[in-house]
Amino acid sequence: MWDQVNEALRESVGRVLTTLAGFLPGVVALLVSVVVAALLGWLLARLAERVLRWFRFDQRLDRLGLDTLAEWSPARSPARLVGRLCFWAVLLLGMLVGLAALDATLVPTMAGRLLTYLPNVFAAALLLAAGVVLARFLARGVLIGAVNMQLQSARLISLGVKWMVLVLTAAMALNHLSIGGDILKLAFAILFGGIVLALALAVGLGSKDMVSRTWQRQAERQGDEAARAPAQHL
Amino acid sequence: MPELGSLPPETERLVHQIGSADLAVGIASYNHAETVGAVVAAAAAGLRRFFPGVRSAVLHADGGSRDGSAERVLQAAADGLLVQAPFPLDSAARPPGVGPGHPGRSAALRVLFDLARRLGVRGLAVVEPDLLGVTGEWIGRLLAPVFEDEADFVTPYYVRHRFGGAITNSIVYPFTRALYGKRLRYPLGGDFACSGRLVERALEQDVWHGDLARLGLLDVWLVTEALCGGFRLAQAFLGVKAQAGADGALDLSLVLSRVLGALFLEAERRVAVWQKVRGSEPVPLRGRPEPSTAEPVTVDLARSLAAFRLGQQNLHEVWGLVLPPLTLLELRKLAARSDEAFRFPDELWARIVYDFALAHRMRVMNRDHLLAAFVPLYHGWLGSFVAEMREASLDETEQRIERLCLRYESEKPYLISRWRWPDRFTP
Repeated sequence: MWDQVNEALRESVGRVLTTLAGFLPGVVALLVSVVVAALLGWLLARLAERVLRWFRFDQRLDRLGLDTLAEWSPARSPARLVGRLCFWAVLLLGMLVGLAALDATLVPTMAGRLLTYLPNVFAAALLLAAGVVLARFLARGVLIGAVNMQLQSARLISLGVKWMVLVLTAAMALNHLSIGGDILKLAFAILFGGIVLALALAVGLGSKDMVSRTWQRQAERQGDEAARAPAQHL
Repeated sequence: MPELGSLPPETERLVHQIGSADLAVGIASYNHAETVGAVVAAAAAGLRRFFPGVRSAVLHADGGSRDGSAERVLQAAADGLLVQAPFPLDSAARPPGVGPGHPGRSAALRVLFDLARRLGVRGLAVVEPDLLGVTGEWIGRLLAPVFEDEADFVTPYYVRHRFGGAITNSIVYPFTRALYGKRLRYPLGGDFACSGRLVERALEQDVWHGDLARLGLLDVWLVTEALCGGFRLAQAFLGVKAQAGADGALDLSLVLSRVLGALFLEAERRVAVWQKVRGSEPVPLRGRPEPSTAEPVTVDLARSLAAFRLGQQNLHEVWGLVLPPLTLLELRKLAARSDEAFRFPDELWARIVYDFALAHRMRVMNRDHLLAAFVPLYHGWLGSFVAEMREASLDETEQRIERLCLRYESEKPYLISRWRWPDRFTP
């Protein structure tokens, strides 16, 4: 009886150790692959940045009217953005190589799934990028406009607009990635609906007099300004 | 905008009937029935009185008025003197109007210039349709330098209240003077005269569909073309200018943005000229400035300074993309001062205007945002000017503006240096 137990234990330990022995080199290969890819990516990113700077890439883009690219580039430099993209692309490649070392069947399976999912990721990334640009553009426009209308809460309004656009964009992107499902839609509807309802209640019940006074003051101020300009200012 | 040569048959008949003219006065209107008749009558009287025996015409362009402006003009003008032509004005464009900065301005000027060329005029005066108390002397003074002294471009010289024309005093006059080296006191007055040569030049150029036309400020092109194109300049003293203000009202932010935008666009186009100019020289003035009292202009000092401080609190990140750190620091210190001690240093102001011109050229951000972000700074300058000149006479005000202009001129190397090497920050 004990002999059988011993035999079973030895066999199981042997199996585990064999599995581990078969698995560990793959893990080490994955780590090495990631580290090497990170190094290579860093080098490639630096090289790409230098070459692009040598070509005055940022200025050329600016002259072509693609200055909005600089808006969401790190340090306002599209060349640096390209460098970062290079880095992440090489790192991703390194991870795939490492995963292939871990399990030969894993990468083709993952690649297949990834390829079908990739358009969604691109669309979501595009949505996010457009959303960030739009949010920053609108926030700045609203901030300047509100300051020129002499609204004390200009920054708050601008921040509100920025986050509304960002939240909307994030919700759209997640929806595109099929993450969250109905919960996301529901949460978004509740959040937005809640904000609108809260504002409506606040204006309608709590501060209707103040709002009406503010609008009246605003109208008077605008009328006053309009009457003075341009005849008096110009 | 109609192409040249596409005048209605009735206008063609009137042009044919008059044949040719040496001098003309052009007036554009859009719902100015209350005032345009008197302006046309003054123009006709001025032509008869100051240029007897000279073949002349009154040109009227109307943007589709619905208040009987065209009929008023017809009643006011003498027979055989008037040519009327329509021009397309998008009444949906806000705000409609024909004054500088209004959407109809360029189309109206184009029609007037086209008529003037068809008549082969030597001189064309353009006056605004909502002037109050205008006399024939205005026409005499505007056209005499063109007719007698062969000037090509005559700008007005008004008497204004010390707080009136603040955009002109703080930006348009000093900036134009420092850049192009000629002391035109009211470059964008709205009333002006030009020679047939300049009319011809304007019609040859592709400026009627461009950015300046869209801004309603073709006047800026005319001024800079006259300044840079080798044309002879003159000024005409016209006295007090009073307007009924019948054009749709523009808010201050819009006026300032359009004027600055137009000035900066032209500065970008004329860089080869103004980089060589140093100092400035006076421009001959027709008529002697007489002391007269302009309609008082009230400026709410506290509100102006509050607008500046609000901008300083909220827009420092936006200004940070345009202005050097030292300027930002100066602005922060300035905002902390009391209303009475508030003084915007001339050097700081001139550099700020130059920095914005550069930022406009470099497109550091959306141009509408950039120009709108200037408005609180203008409020700051205005407040400072009001606080400083509260008790000043007109002469003292003019001396103060002269000092500001000299500062713009002395700071011009800063603009040139940053224009040439924008990446090199020189706070």
